Amino acid sequence: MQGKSIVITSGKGGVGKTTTTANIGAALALAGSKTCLIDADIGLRNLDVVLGLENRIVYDLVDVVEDRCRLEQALIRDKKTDNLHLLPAAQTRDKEAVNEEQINEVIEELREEMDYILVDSPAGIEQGFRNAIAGADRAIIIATPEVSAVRDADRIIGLLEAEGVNNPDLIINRIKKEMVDRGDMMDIDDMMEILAIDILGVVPEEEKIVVSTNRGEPIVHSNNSRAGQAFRNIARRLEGEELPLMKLEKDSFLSRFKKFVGLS
Amino acid sequence: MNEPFTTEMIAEGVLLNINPEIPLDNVKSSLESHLEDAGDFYRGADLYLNLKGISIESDELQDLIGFISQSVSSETNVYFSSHSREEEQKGLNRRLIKKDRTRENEEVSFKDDTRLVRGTLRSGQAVEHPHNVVILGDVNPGAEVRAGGDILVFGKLMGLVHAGVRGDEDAEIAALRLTPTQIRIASKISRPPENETERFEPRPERAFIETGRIIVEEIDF
Repeated sequence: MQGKSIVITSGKGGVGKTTTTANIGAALALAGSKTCLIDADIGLRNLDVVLGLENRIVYDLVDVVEDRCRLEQALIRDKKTDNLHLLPAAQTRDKEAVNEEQINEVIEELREEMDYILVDSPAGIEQGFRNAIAGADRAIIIATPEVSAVRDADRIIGLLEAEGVNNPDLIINRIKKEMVDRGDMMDIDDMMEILAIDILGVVPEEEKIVVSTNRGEPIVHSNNSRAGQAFRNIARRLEGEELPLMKLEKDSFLSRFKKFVGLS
Repeated sequence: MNEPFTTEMIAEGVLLNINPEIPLDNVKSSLESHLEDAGDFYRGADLYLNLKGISIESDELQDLIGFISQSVSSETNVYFSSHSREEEQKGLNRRLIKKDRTRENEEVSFKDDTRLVRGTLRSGQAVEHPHNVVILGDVNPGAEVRAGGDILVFGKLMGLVHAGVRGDEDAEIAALRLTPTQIRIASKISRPPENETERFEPRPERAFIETGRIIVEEIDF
Protein backbone atom coordinates (compact mmCIF):
# COMPACT_ATOMS: atom_id res chain seq x y z
CA MET A 1 0.00 0.00 0.00
CA GLN A 2 1.31 3.45 -0.91
CA GLY A 3 -0.66 6.11 0.89
CA LYS A 4 -1.00 9.65 -0.39
CA SER A 5 0.35 12.49 1.66
CA ILE A 6 -1.42 15.83 1.60
CA VAL A 7 -0.36 19.00 3.38
CA ILE A 8 -3.03 21.44 4.50
CA THR A 9 -1.65 24.95 4.69
CA SER A 10 -2.59 28.60 4.33
CA GLY A 11 0.14 31.03 5.28
CA LYS A 12 -2.30 33.09 7.28
CA GLY A 13 -3.33 31.96 10.71
CA GLY A 14 -6.87 31.45 11.92
CA VAL A 15 -8.40 30.52 8.60
CA GLY A 16 -9.30 27.00 9.67
CA LYS A 17 -6.40 24.70 8.75
CA THR A 18 -6.74 22.56 11.84
CA THR A 19 -10.52 22.31 11.70
CA THR A 20 -10.31 21.43 8.03
CA THR A 21 -7.64 18.80 8.63
CA ALA A 22 -9.68 17.18 11.38
CA ASN A 23 -12.86 17.17 9.32
CA ILE A 24 -11.42 15.96 6.03
CA GLY A 25 -9.52 13.29 7.95
CA ALA A 26 -12.63 12.15 9.78
CA ALA A 27 -14.65 12.18 6.54
CA LEU A 28 -12.04 10.09 4.70
CA ALA A 29 -11.91 7.66 7.61
CA LEU A 30 -15.71 7.45 7.79
CA ALA A 31 -15.70 6.55 4.11
CA GLY A 32 -13.36 3.67 4.88
CA SER A 33 -9.87 4.98 4.13
CA LYS A 34 -7.13 4.45 6.67
CA THR A 35 -6.11 7.98 7.49
CA CYS A 36 -3.38 9.47 9.64
CA LEU A 37 -3.28 13.11 10.66
CA ILE A 38 0.05 14.68 11.54
CA ASP A 39 0.09 17.83 13.61
CA ALA A 40 3.15 19.74 12.40
CA ASP A 41 2.40 22.74 14.59
CA ILE A 42 5.00 21.95 17.24
CA GLY A 43 4.67 24.22 20.23
CA LEU A 44 1.15 25.34 19.35
CA ARG A 45 -0.59 22.07 18.81
CA ASN A 46 -4.36 22.08 18.42
CA LEU A 47 -5.33 19.12 16.29
CA ASP A 48 -5.48 16.85 19.34
CA VAL A 49 -7.84 19.28 21.05
CA VAL A 50 -10.11 19.61 18.03
CA LEU A 51 -10.36 15.82 17.88
CA GLY A 52 -10.85 15.53 21.63
CA LEU A 53 -7.75 13.37 21.99
CA GLU A 54 -5.54 15.65 24.06
CA ASN A 55 -5.69 13.48 27.16
CA ARG A 56 -4.57 10.36 25.30
CA ILE A 57 -1.23 11.71 24.20
CA VAL A 58 1.68 9.74 25.57
CA TYR A 59 4.29 10.15 22.85
CA ASP A 60 4.42 12.74 20.12
CA LEU A 61 6.08 13.54 16.82
CA VAL A 62 9.25 14.83 18.49
CA ASP A 63 9.52 11.64 20.55
CA VAL A 64 9.30 9.67 17.31
CA VAL A 65 12.02 11.60 15.48
CA GLU A 66 14.23 11.59 18.57
CA ASP A 67 13.81 7.80 18.84
CA ARG A 68 12.19 7.78 22.25
CA CYS A 69 9.41 5.58 20.90
CA ARG A 70 8.34 3.70 17.83
CA LEU A 71 6.02 5.42 15.37
CA GLU A 72 3.04 3.18 16.15
CA GLN A 73 3.39 3.91 19.86
CA ALA A 74 2.81 7.60 19.19
CA LEU A 75 -0.25 7.07 16.96
CA ILE A 76 -3.53 7.75 18.72
CA ARG A 77 -6.63 6.02 17.45
CA ASP A 78 -9.60 8.36 17.15
CA LYS A 79 -12.39 7.72 19.63
CA LYS A 80 -15.13 7.96 17.03
CA THR A 81 -13.62 6.51 13.88
CA ASP A 82 -11.42 3.41 13.92
CA ASN A 83 -9.70 4.28 10.65
CA LEU A 84 -8.51 7.65 11.89
CA HIS A 85 -5.17 8.10 13.63
CA LEU A 86 -3.38 11.12 14.99
CA LEU A 87 0.32 11.74 15.33
CA PRO A 88 0.31 14.65 17.78
CA ALA A 89 2.84 17.48 18.00
CA ALA A 90 4.89 18.23 21.09
CA GLN A 91 3.71 21.26 22.98
CA THR A 92 6.77 22.04 25.04
CA ARG A 93 9.18 22.16 22.10
CA ASP A 94 9.44 24.38 19.06
CA LYS A 95 9.49 24.08 15.29
CA GLU A 96 13.26 23.59 15.19
CA ALA A 97 12.90 20.33 17.13
CA VAL A 98 12.38 18.48 13.84
CA ASN A 99 13.60 18.93 10.29
CA GLU A 100 12.29 18.18 6.82
CA GLU A 101 14.19 14.92 6.44
CA GLN A 102 12.81 13.52 9.68
CA ILE A 103 9.24 14.39 8.72
CA ASN A 104 9.82 12.85 5.34
CA GLU A 105 10.97 9.61 6.98
CA VAL A 106 7.91 9.52 9.22
CA ILE A 107 5.63 10.04 6.22
CA GLU A 108 7.41 7.33 4.24
CA GLU A 109 6.86 4.92 7.10
CA LEU A 110 3.19 5.88 7.39
CA ARG A 111 2.62 5.36 3.68
CA GLU A 112 3.05 1.63 4.19
CA GLU A 113 0.08 1.49 6.55
CA MET A 114 -2.21 4.34 5.58
CA ASP A 115 -4.30 5.37 2.58
CA TYR A 116 -4.03 9.05 3.43
CA ILE A 117 -1.60 11.10 5.47
CA LEU A 118 -2.83 14.63 6.13
CA VAL A 119 -0.34 17.10 7.54
CA ASP A 120 -1.70 20.08 9.42
CA SER A 121 0.71 22.93 8.78
CA PRO A 122 1.38 25.76 11.19
CA ALA A 123 0.74 29.33 10.06
CA GLY A 124 3.69 31.18 8.61
CA ILE A 125 6.39 30.34 6.10
CA GLU A 126 9.24 29.44 8.45
CA GLN A 127 10.69 26.10 9.55
CA GLY A 128 7.30 24.78 10.64
CA PHE A 129 5.90 25.32 7.18
CA ARG A 130 8.94 23.77 5.53
CA ASN A 131 8.57 20.74 7.81
CA ALA A 132 4.90 20.42 6.99
CA ILE A 133 5.37 20.40 3.24
CA ALA A 134 8.28 17.95 3.33
CA GLY A 135 7.13 14.71 1.82
CA ALA A 136 3.80 16.03 0.59
CA ASP A 137 2.45 14.66 -2.70
CA ARG A 138 -0.10 17.39 -2.95
CA ALA A 139 -1.25 20.46 -1.08
CA ILE A 140 -4.55 21.90 -0.04
CA ILE A 141 -4.62 25.65 0.50
CA ILE A 142 -7.17 27.10 2.87
CA ALA A 143 -8.27 30.68 2.40
CA THR A 144 -11.10 32.70 3.81
CA PRO A 145 -12.76 35.30 1.58
CA GLU A 146 -10.53 38.11 2.79
CA VAL A 147 -7.92 40.02 0.86
CA SER A 148 -5.21 39.26 3.41
CA ALA A 149 -5.92 35.51 3.41
CA VAL A 150 -5.91 35.42 -0.37
CA ARG A 151 -2.65 37.36 -0.49
CA ASP A 152 -1.02 34.88 1.88
CA ALA A 153 -2.47 31.93 -0.02
CA ASP A 154 -0.95 33.31 -3.20
CA ARG A 155 2.44 33.55 -1.54
CA ILE A 156 2.12 29.97 -0.29
CA ILE A 157 1.27 28.68 -3.75
CA GLY A 158 4.46 30.25 -5.04
CA LEU A 159 6.53 28.74 -2.24
CA LEU A 160 5.00 25.32 -2.81
CA GLU A 161 5.82 25.45 -6.49
CA ALA A 162 9.39 26.37 -5.66
CA GLU A 163 9.56 23.28 -3.46
CA GLY A 164 8.16 21.11 -6.23
CA VAL A 165 4.68 20.66 -4.79
CA ASN A 166 2.64 21.53 -7.85
CA ASN A 167 -1.04 21.99 -8.58
CA PRO A 168 -2.36 22.70 -5.11
CA ASP A 169 -6.10 22.71 -4.50
CA LEU A 170 -8.07 25.47 -2.85
CA ILE A 171 -10.65 25.29 -0.13
CA ILE A 172 -12.58 28.47 0.53
CA ASN A 173 -13.54 28.49 4.15
CA ARG A 174 -16.04 30.46 6.18
CA ILE A 175 -17.92 31.99 3.31
CA LYS A 176 -21.08 33.90 4.18
CA LYS A 177 -23.76 33.97 1.55
CA GLU A 178 -25.42 37.15 2.82
CA MET A 179 -22.18 39.10 2.82
CA VAL A 180 -21.21 37.89 -0.63
CA ASP A 181 -24.66 38.86 -1.92
CA ARG A 182 -24.31 42.32 -0.46
CA GLY A 183 -20.93 42.64 -2.09
CA ASP A 184 -19.25 42.90 1.31
CA MET A 185 -17.24 39.73 0.96
CA MET A 186 -15.05 38.37 -1.80
CA ASP A 187 -16.89 35.76 -3.76
CA ILE A 188 -15.52 32.57 -5.24
CA ASP A 189 -14.79 34.17 -8.60
CA ASP A 190 -12.87 37.07 -7.05
CA MET A 191 -10.65 34.59 -5.27
CA MET A 192 -10.18 32.29 -8.22
CA GLU A 193 -9.20 35.22 -10.38
CA ILE A 194 -6.16 35.86 -8.22
CA LEU A 195 -5.24 32.35 -7.19
CA ALA A 196 -6.15 30.48 -10.38
CA ILE A 197 -5.89 26.98 -8.92
CA ASP A 198 -8.36 24.10 -8.81
CA ILE A 199 -11.10 24.44 -6.25
CA LEU A 200 -11.70 21.49 -3.98
CA GLY A 201 -14.56 22.88 -1.95
CA VAL A 202 -16.36 25.79 -0.37
CA VAL A 203 -17.25 25.60 3.30
CA PRO A 204 -19.91 27.92 4.66
CA GLU A 205 -19.45 29.78 7.91
CA GLU A 206 -21.37 28.04 10.65
CA GLU A 207 -21.69 28.60 14.36
CA LYS A 208 -21.90 24.87 14.95
CA ILE A 209 -18.26 24.55 13.92
CA VAL A 210 -17.20 26.44 17.02
CA VAL A 211 -19.27 24.12 19.18
CA SER A 212 -17.89 21.04 17.49
CA THR A 213 -14.24 22.08 17.78
CA ASN A 214 -14.73 23.03 21.42
CA ARG A 215 -16.29 19.65 22.10
CA GLY A 216 -13.61 17.78 20.22
CA GLU A 217 -16.05 16.21 17.77
CA PRO A 218 -15.54 17.01 14.09
CA ILE A 219 -18.62 18.47 12.40
CA VAL A 220 -18.64 15.74 9.74
CA HIS A 221 -20.24 13.50 12.36
CA SER A 222 -23.24 15.80 12.38
CA ASN A 223 -25.83 15.16 9.70
CA ASN A 224 -27.62 18.47 9.81
CA SER A 225 -24.65 20.71 9.18
CA ARG A 226 -23.94 22.34 5.83
CA ALA A 227 -20.29 22.70 6.75
CA GLY A 228 -20.14 19.03 7.65
CA GLN A 229 -21.65 18.18 4.28
CA ALA A 230 -19.10 20.42 2.57
CA PHE A 231 -16.25 18.56 4.29
CA ARG A 232 -17.71 15.19 3.35
CA ASN A 233 -17.94 16.36 -0.26
CA ILE A 234 -14.32 17.49 -0.17
CA ALA A 235 -13.30 14.02 1.02
CA ARG A 236 -15.21 12.45 -1.85
CA ARG A 237 -13.54 14.78 -4.34
CA LEU A 238 -10.17 13.79 -2.90
CA GLU A 239 -11.09 10.19 -3.62
CA GLY A 240 -11.56 11.20 -7.23
CA GLU A 241 -15.29 11.62 -7.41
CA GLU A 242 -16.68 14.41 -9.61
CA LEU A 243 -19.07 16.40 -7.48
CA PRO A 244 -20.53 19.83 -8.18
CA LEU A 245 -19.91 22.55 -5.60
CA MET A 246 -22.61 22.81 -3.01
CA LYS A 247 -24.98 25.72 -3.54
CA LEU A 248 -24.55 28.41 -0.97
CA GLU A 249 -27.64 29.26 0.94
CA LYS A 250 -28.59 31.57 3.67
CA ASP A 251 -28.83 29.97 7.04
CA SER A 252 -32.06 31.75 7.81
CA PHE A 253 -35.05 30.51 9.66
CA LEU A 254 -36.96 30.37 6.38
CA SER A 255 -34.38 28.20 4.68
CA ARG A 256 -34.19 25.91 7.69
CA PHE A 257 -37.95 25.70 7.69
CA LYS A 258 -38.06 24.97 3.96
CA LYS A 259 -35.49 22.27 4.42
CA PHE A 260 -37.41 20.85 7.30
CA VAL A 261 -40.62 20.57 5.31
CA GLY A 262 -38.72 19.34 2.29
CA LEU A 263 -39.12 22.34 -0.01
CA SER A 264 -35.43 22.78 -0.70
CA MET B 1 9.27 29.46 73.03
CA ASN B 2 11.78 27.28 74.72
CA GLU B 3 13.89 26.37 71.77
CA PRO B 4 17.43 27.72 71.83
CA PHE B 5 16.90 29.16 68.36
CA THR B 6 14.53 29.22 65.42
CA THR B 7 15.16 29.60 61.71
CA GLU B 8 13.17 31.51 59.16
CA MET B 9 13.43 31.84 55.42
CA ILE B 10 13.76 35.44 54.35
CA ALA B 11 14.46 36.89 50.92
CA GLU B 12 18.09 37.47 51.76
CA GLY B 13 18.72 34.01 53.13
CA VAL B 14 18.08 32.28 56.40
CA LEU B 15 17.36 34.21 59.56
CA LEU B 16 18.62 32.59 62.72
CA ASN B 17 16.73 33.88 65.75
CA ILE B 18 18.56 33.18 68.97
CA ASN B 19 16.45 32.87 72.06
CA PRO B 20 17.65 35.39 74.67
CA GLU B 21 16.24 33.27 77.47
CA ILE B 22 18.50 30.32 76.84
CA PRO B 23 22.09 30.31 78.05
CA LEU B 24 24.49 30.85 75.22
CA ASP B 25 26.29 27.57 75.76
CA ASN B 26 23.08 25.65 75.27
CA VAL B 27 22.37 27.63 72.15
CA LYS B 28 25.79 26.80 70.83
CA SER B 29 25.53 23.11 71.43
CA SER B 30 22.12 22.76 69.80
CA LEU B 31 23.25 24.99 66.96
CA GLU B 32 26.19 22.69 66.48
CA SER B 33 24.05 19.61 66.05
CA HIS B 34 21.62 21.53 63.85
CA LEU B 35 24.29 22.73 61.45
CA GLU B 36 25.75 19.26 61.33
CA ASP B 37 22.36 17.74 60.48
CA ALA B 38 21.65 20.41 57.91
CA GLY B 39 24.60 19.34 55.79
CA ASP B 40 24.66 21.56 52.75
CA PHE B 41 21.18 22.90 53.42
CA TYR B 42 22.57 26.40 53.76
CA ARG B 43 24.62 26.20 50.60
CA GLY B 44 23.92 29.19 48.40
CA ALA B 45 22.00 30.99 51.13
CA ASP B 46 23.32 33.57 53.51
CA LEU B 47 22.87 33.35 57.23
CA TYR B 48 21.48 36.26 59.24
CA LEU B 49 22.10 36.12 62.94
CA ASN B 50 19.36 37.76 64.96
CA LEU B 51 20.71 38.67 68.38
CA LYS B 52 17.85 40.92 69.38
CA GLY B 53 17.47 41.02 73.15
CA ILE B 54 20.69 39.24 73.84
CA SER B 55 23.47 40.70 75.88
CA ILE B 56 26.68 39.15 74.90
CA GLU B 57 30.35 39.72 75.59
CA SER B 58 32.49 40.52 72.61
CA ASP B 59 34.59 37.41 73.22
CA GLU B 60 31.55 35.25 73.29
CA LEU B 61 30.25 36.91 70.17
CA GLN B 62 33.48 36.33 68.31
CA ASP B 63 33.46 32.76 69.46
CA LEU B 64 29.91 32.28 68.21
CA ILE B 65 30.60 33.85 64.83
CA GLY B 66 33.77 31.86 64.38
CA PHE B 67 31.95 28.69 65.25
CA ILE B 68 29.08 29.34 62.83
CA SER B 69 31.36 30.38 59.98
CA GLN B 70 33.25 27.15 60.41
CA SER B 71 30.14 25.03 60.38
CA VAL B 72 28.65 26.41 57.17
CA SER B 73 30.22 26.26 53.74
CA SER B 74 32.61 28.98 52.65
CA GLU B 75 30.12 30.45 50.16
CA THR B 76 27.71 31.28 52.93
CA ASN B 77 28.12 34.74 54.39
CA VAL B 78 27.17 35.36 57.99
CA TYR B 79 25.53 38.70 58.86
CA PHE B 80 24.14 40.37 61.91
CA SER B 81 20.58 41.38 61.97
CA SER B 82 18.35 42.76 64.66
CA HIS B 83 14.92 42.03 63.36
CA SER B 84 12.24 42.19 65.89
CA ARG B 85 9.73 39.70 64.63
CA GLU B 86 6.73 42.00 64.64
CA GLU B 87 7.80 45.20 62.92
CA GLU B 88 10.97 45.05 60.94
CA GLN B 89 10.16 41.56 59.84
CA LYS B 90 7.18 42.96 58.04
CA GLY B 91 9.37 45.27 56.03
CA LEU B 92 11.54 42.35 55.16
CA ASN B 93 8.56 40.32 54.10
CA ARG B 94 7.38 43.13 51.94
CA ARG B 95 10.70 43.14 50.19
CA LEU B 96 10.51 39.42 49.86
CA ILE B 97 7.15 39.63 48.12
CA LYS B 98 8.42 42.29 45.77
CA LYS B 99 11.46 40.25 44.91
CA ASP B 100 9.39 37.19 44.17
CA ARG B 101 7.17 38.95 41.68
CA THR B 102 10.15 39.69 39.55
CA ARG B 103 11.25 36.11 39.47
CA GLU B 104 8.15 34.28 38.55
CA ASN B 105 8.41 30.60 37.81
CA GLU B 106 11.86 30.50 39.28
CA GLU B 107 13.30 28.40 41.95
CA VAL B 108 13.04 30.15 45.27
CA SER B 109 13.50 27.21 47.58
CA PHE B 110 16.90 26.82 49.15
CA LYS B 111 16.46 23.20 49.90
CA ASP B 112 17.34 21.23 46.85
CA ASP B 113 14.95 18.34 47.29
CA THR B 114 11.83 20.38 46.58
CA ARG B 115 11.39 22.94 43.89
CA LEU B 116 8.87 25.67 44.47
CA VAL B 117 7.41 27.33 41.42
CA ARG B 118 5.47 30.51 41.93
CA GLY B 119 2.93 31.39 39.30
CA THR B 120 0.77 29.62 36.80
CA LEU B 121 2.30 27.30 34.24
CA ARG B 122 0.80 28.01 30.85
CA SER B 123 0.51 25.86 27.77
CA GLY B 124 3.93 24.87 26.47
CA GLN B 125 5.73 25.62 29.72
CA ALA B 126 7.41 22.70 31.40
CA VAL B 127 8.98 22.19 34.80
CA GLU B 128 11.28 19.30 35.52
CA HIS B 129 12.93 18.51 38.80
CA PRO B 130 14.66 15.42 40.16
CA HIS B 131 12.76 15.61 43.45
CA ASN B 132 9.44 17.08 44.59
CA VAL B 133 7.74 20.01 42.87
CA VAL B 134 5.31 22.46 44.41
CA ILE B 135 3.40 24.81 42.12
CA LEU B 136 1.87 27.89 43.71
CA GLY B 137 -0.58 28.50 40.90
CA ASP B 138 -2.41 26.60 38.22
CA VAL B 139 -1.09 24.09 35.73
CA ASN B 140 -2.96 24.90 32.52
CA PRO B 141 -3.79 22.42 29.75
CA GLY B 142 -0.69 21.96 27.59
CA ALA B 143 1.70 22.62 30.49
CA GLU B 144 3.80 19.79 31.85
CA VAL B 145 5.35 19.02 35.20
CA ARG B 146 7.75 16.13 35.69
CA ALA B 147 9.15 15.29 39.08
CA GLY B 148 11.22 12.49 40.48
CA GLY B 149 9.12 12.68 43.62
CA ASP B 150 5.74 14.13 44.52
CA ILE B 151 3.88 16.95 42.84
CA LEU B 152 1.70 19.35 44.75
CA VAL B 153 -0.31 21.93 42.85
CA PHE B 154 -1.69 24.66 45.03
CA GLY B 155 -4.18 25.63 42.38
CA LYS B 156 -6.05 23.96 39.54
CA LEU B 157 -4.28 21.09 37.88
CA MET B 158 -5.49 20.95 34.27
CA GLY B 159 -2.37 19.96 32.37
CA LEU B 160 -0.12 16.93 32.38
CA VAL B 161 1.86 15.94 35.45
CA HIS B 162 4.18 13.02 35.91
CA ALA B 163 5.28 12.16 39.44
CA GLY B 164 7.92 9.56 40.17
CA VAL B 165 9.39 9.83 36.68
CA ARG B 166 12.25 7.54 37.58
CA GLY B 167 9.86 4.81 38.60
CA ASP B 168 8.96 5.67 42.18
CA GLU B 169 5.53 4.12 42.65
CA ASP B 170 5.12 5.78 46.04
CA ALA B 171 5.06 9.22 44.46
CA GLU B 172 1.84 11.17 44.83
CA ILE B 173 0.06 14.01 43.08
CA ALA B 174 -2.16 16.43 44.94
CA ALA B 175 -4.03 19.51 43.77
CA LEU B 176 -6.71 21.85 45.02
CA ARG B 177 -8.66 20.90 41.96
CA LEU B 178 -7.65 17.82 40.04
CA THR B 179 -8.98 18.00 36.49
CA PRO B 180 -5.85 17.07 34.58
CA THR B 181 -5.43 16.26 30.94
CA GLN B 182 -3.50 13.26 32.10
CA ILE B 183 -1.65 12.13 35.19
CA ARG B 184 1.25 9.74 35.34
CA ILE B 185 2.88 8.15 38.34
CA ALA B 186 5.98 6.08 37.68
CA SER B 187 5.03 4.03 34.59
CA LYS B 188 1.26 4.26 35.08
CA ILE B 189 -0.88 6.60 33.01
CA SER B 190 -4.39 7.73 33.80
CA ARG B 191 -6.80 10.25 32.42
CA PRO B 192 -10.06 11.53 33.83
CA PRO B 193 -13.27 9.83 32.73
CA GLU B 194 -14.79 11.35 29.64
CA ASN B 195 -17.93 13.48 29.69
CA GLU B 196 -17.63 14.13 33.36
CA THR B 197 -19.53 17.27 34.18
CA GLU B 198 -17.46 20.25 35.22
CA ARG B 199 -17.12 20.84 38.90
CA PHE B 200 -16.78 24.43 39.87
CA GLU B 201 -16.05 24.31 43.54
CA PRO B 202 -12.48 23.48 44.38
CA ARG B 203 -12.15 20.00 45.77
CA PRO B 204 -8.68 18.97 46.87
CA GLU B 205 -7.79 15.55 45.61
CA ARG B 206 -4.75 13.35 45.56
CA ALA B 207 -3.63 10.62 43.23
CA PHE B 208 -1.44 7.65 44.09
CA ILE B 209 -0.76 4.11 43.02
CA GLU B 210 -2.54 1.31 44.81
CA THR B 211 -2.43 -2.30 43.66
CA GLY B 212 -0.90 -1.24 40.39
CA ARG B 213 -3.50 1.36 39.47
CA ILE B 214 -3.72 5.11 39.83
CA ILE B 215 -6.36 5.94 42.40
CA VAL B 216 -7.78 9.44 42.82
CA GLU B 217 -9.48 10.34 46.05
CA GLU B 218 -10.70 13.41 47.81
CA ILE B 219 -8.48 14.73 50.54
CA ASP B 220 -10.21 14.51 53.90
CA PHE B 221 -9.62 17.21 56.43
